[in-house]
Amino acid sequence: MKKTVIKTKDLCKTYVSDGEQFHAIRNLSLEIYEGDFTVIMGSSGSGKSTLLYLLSGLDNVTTGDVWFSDIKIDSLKEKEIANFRRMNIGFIFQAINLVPNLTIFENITIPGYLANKNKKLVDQKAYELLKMFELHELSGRLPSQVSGGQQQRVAIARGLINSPQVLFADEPTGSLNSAQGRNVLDILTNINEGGQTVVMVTHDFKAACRADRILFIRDGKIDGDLELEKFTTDNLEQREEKVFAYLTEKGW
Amino acid sequence: MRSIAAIILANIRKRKTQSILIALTIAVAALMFSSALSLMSSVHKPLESMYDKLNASHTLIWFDTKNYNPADIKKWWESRSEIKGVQSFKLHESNDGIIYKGEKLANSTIFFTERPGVQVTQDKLSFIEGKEAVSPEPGEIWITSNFAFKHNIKIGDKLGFTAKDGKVQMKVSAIVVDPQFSGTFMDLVRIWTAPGELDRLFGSNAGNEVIMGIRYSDYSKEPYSWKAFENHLDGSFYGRKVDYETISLTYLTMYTILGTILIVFSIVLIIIALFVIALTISSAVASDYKIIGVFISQGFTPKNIISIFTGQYALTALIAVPVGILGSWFTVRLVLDMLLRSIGFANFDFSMTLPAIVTFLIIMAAVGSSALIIARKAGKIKPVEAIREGSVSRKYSNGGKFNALRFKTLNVPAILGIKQIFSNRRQSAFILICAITVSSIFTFAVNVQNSLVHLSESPGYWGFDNRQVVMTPTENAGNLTDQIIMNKLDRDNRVKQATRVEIYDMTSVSEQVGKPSRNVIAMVYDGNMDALGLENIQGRNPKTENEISISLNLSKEYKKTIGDTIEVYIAKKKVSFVITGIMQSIMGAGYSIRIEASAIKKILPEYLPNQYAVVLKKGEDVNSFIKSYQNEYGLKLDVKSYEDNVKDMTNPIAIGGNSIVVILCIIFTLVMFLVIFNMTLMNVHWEKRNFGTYKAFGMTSSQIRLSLMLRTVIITVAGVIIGIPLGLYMAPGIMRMILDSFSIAKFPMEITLLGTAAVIPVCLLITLISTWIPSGRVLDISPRNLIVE
Ligand SMILES: Nc1ncnc2c1ncn2[C@@H]1O[C@H](COP(=O)(O)OP(=O)(O)OP(=O)(O)O)[C@@H](O)[C@H]1O
Ligand SMILES: [Mg+2]
Repeated sequence: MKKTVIKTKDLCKTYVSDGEQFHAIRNLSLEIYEGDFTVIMGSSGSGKSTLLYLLSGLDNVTTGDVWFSDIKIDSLKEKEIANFRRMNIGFIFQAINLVPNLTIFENITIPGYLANKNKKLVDQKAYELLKMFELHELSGRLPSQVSGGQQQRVAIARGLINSPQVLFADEPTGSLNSAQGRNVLDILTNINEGGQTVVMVTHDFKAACRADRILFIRDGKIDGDLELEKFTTDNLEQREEKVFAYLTEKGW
Repeated sequence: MRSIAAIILANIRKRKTQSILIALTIAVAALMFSSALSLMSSVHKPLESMYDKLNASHTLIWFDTKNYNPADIKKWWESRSEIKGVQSFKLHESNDGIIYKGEKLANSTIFFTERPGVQVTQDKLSFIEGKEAVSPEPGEIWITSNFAFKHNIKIGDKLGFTAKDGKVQMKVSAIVVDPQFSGTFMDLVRIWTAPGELDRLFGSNAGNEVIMGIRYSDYSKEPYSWKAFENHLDGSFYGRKVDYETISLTYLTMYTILGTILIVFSIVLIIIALFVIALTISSAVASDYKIIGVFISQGFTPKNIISIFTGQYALTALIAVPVGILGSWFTVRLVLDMLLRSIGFANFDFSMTLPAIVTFLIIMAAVGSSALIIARKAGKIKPVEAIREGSVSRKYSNGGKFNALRFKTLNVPAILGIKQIFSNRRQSAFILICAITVSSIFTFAVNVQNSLVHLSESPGYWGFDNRQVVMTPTENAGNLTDQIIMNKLDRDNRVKQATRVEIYDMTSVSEQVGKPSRNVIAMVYDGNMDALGLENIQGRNPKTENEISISLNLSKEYKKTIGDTIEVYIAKKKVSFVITGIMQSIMGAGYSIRIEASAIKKILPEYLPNQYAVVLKKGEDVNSFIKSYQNEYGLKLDVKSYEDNVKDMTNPIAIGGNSIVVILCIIFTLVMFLVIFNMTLMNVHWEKRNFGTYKAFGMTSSQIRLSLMLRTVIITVAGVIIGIPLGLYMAPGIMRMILDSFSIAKFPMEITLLGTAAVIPVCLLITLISTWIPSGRVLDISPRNLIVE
């Protein structure tokens, strides 16, 4: 039996713009399990990003509950939610969002210092991550001085610096070319194999194939939930066919 | 065209706070500039119109009728074509002081002048309080407005004087504007009496003196007339003279100084305003990068884009400048009202049209051209790049060698605060310059203020000696001779030094080096001048009958320095002196000399200075010393503390200086607030995305605000560290420039450590508040924003 890390109940998110309401997430209940590589898919505007931001505590819910481990994060105050983010989550953006005036090394370590950890330990962990992602030669550069793929790897390292319970990624390969994208996916698969829980939103079929669970969202609701074996390169073709068939069925 | 106008308006609306800030900055600059110009251009007018209304004399001369026949002198002047009229009054000069409410008002010479029993057409008076009449009733007096205001004397109050039969009390029945005597800096006091009163009060001593007013139809002829007059009198006039320049100085000095300071600092302010505008436009260009790209791709020409940005700020200035000018109307009104009060006219039309137009043109041109220069960058944007990149590729730097992470103990807000200083260098540099400017102005202000308060404590700087007590034998001195007094003082073991002194005014510097002659006040000492603390800014005090120290103004006017000879008339005789010292002195409106009593004795063998300057030993109480002498000699000897006298002379400077200092502080507090507010707002806008990212990692809004505060606080501290010494360094120079017309070359700076130290928390407080308020925008930033775009 898998352990639940995130659980939502009757989750709703309503945007109000110009007096008009838009229900982006409607009564959504789900569970995310520890150690899983969960991929969220769905058509554009279906509410994927919104869901990810609610699960990770980056945005407030309208109604409904979100439990993260034992913490009910939907009702935390600003200070508490900030503290929660520090300790429990890592987040990777499509737009990467490295801080341009910080060096690669600083970008990675700052969230570590924020979590009030021992500076030495943070630095040590940062060196490990840099090495792992083959970034160690770039540590003194500014984000504008490295390639897009390298930037996204820095972002992953930044997301992992506090050893979060869950690493979230919103279309991490969206702004990368296919080789860079594959490299990022390899890294994510790799760390997942090492036990890291990953929740990723993607449009990319190849990326979806890395999942051991695919959640399909339509109009702010869950419209499908596909379980897969752990990803290996052995039976790749079979796996891709299965995912493709599933997504086609969902009208992707 | 219409589309451009629409975009301009939309942009102003979009950046409402920033537009308001820029408008305010421009308005304050316009206010100061226009106030300064108006003040400079119209400050003379109230005085001129008062002079015209009262048909006042430009030149006053007074002399002893034993020396000249007043009728002859009057006739001579009336015969001249450039003279409109001559008015003569009977005069009695007294140095015995005035008693008011039991207190002796420490004052220099009193001019008792008889108002004739008939209506005069020249030197009319303007009645501020009391009933207008041809002359006061017997037993009553009229006093001048400046004197009444200074001592808060009201109609019906009694003033006491020393007369031939002892003390008399006279009732004040009117307070008048007396054209030549009502100036704030006038140190002669005029008391008007009824006809015949001088004889009654002062007996045979009185009535030998005459004060004569000369009104020119063409005042520019004054130097020639005066020369002709002196030639008519065989070379020199043995009497005293005050001319219109000196009189107007007694009224206008403060306002001229105010105008000068405003001009200087308004230029600083205009430069700051231009910087704010330039930085704001370039940040607006950067954040509108993508939109500009889109505009260009839709067929806007670079010219259109430039006119959008320039138009925006020109429009803002178009609204702000008139607001500032309107504000300056009130400021100038306020300042001139103070002047008008002293002149005694409630109504006065001053025109601000020209200053307003000049201000408008200059500031519009400055704003427009700086906007144009910066906006040209926007016109050069390439659409494809702009749309694809989304934002201008800012050149980020990691702060060069400065690596915040090397510090082991810094927390994250501190690291980010420091990073922001180096990553946005232009802003940081500007805040730094602003902090330096403001803190140095504060330092300047607080120390000048402190020096003004302590002015009277450094008499040497102002040409005074450090006597504590001055004694003058009165008209009732009788058998109290010089010998008795000097003996008594010499034997008194409370006395450290007693010196015979006199402010001798029958002296003038004769015509030389192409400059006409000029009345000067001679400070005469019968004894060691150095021991009395008399200072020179160059050279030394005179030690022999042939030596002289001259005031800075004289040295400039007659182009004389140490070692030169200067010709001076003493009691009608021309005497040559060797200049041994140049001194600064506010006596005689900056025109004075310092000589040995022996120099006068050479001409008038009987001469003895008429006063005694006394310095007491350390620890002796001045008041009980004065009391003991007053008790012993009563009405025969006038004994007063000298401290008050110096205070009287320096008070107008202190009061005027204070108001200037206060105005400066208010304006530059506002400036610093506006600048930092604006810079912080811009920074939040700039860093919006990064702040969102920080929040996604778990930074709180408070931590981000803390980093913003740290940024401005650190820069401010750096600015203050540079600004305070700079302010201290520049203050004496600025004061010298301002006080130049007073013959003051060195301003005695009294540095206040506490006050100077207070500049630090004040600057920090301004910084904290002006960062804290706009940093509230951080609260609205959500990591959710990171997926949009
Ligand atoms: N701030 C907002 N105000 C109003 N509506 C919003 C807001 N943010 C998102 N929406 C709407 O909510 C819906 C879900 O948005 P969301 O960003 O979650 O979609 P998505 O599934 O991530 O789409 P995509 O694949 O294009 O990224 C969309 O229809 C979007 O228009
Ligand atoms: Mg999305």
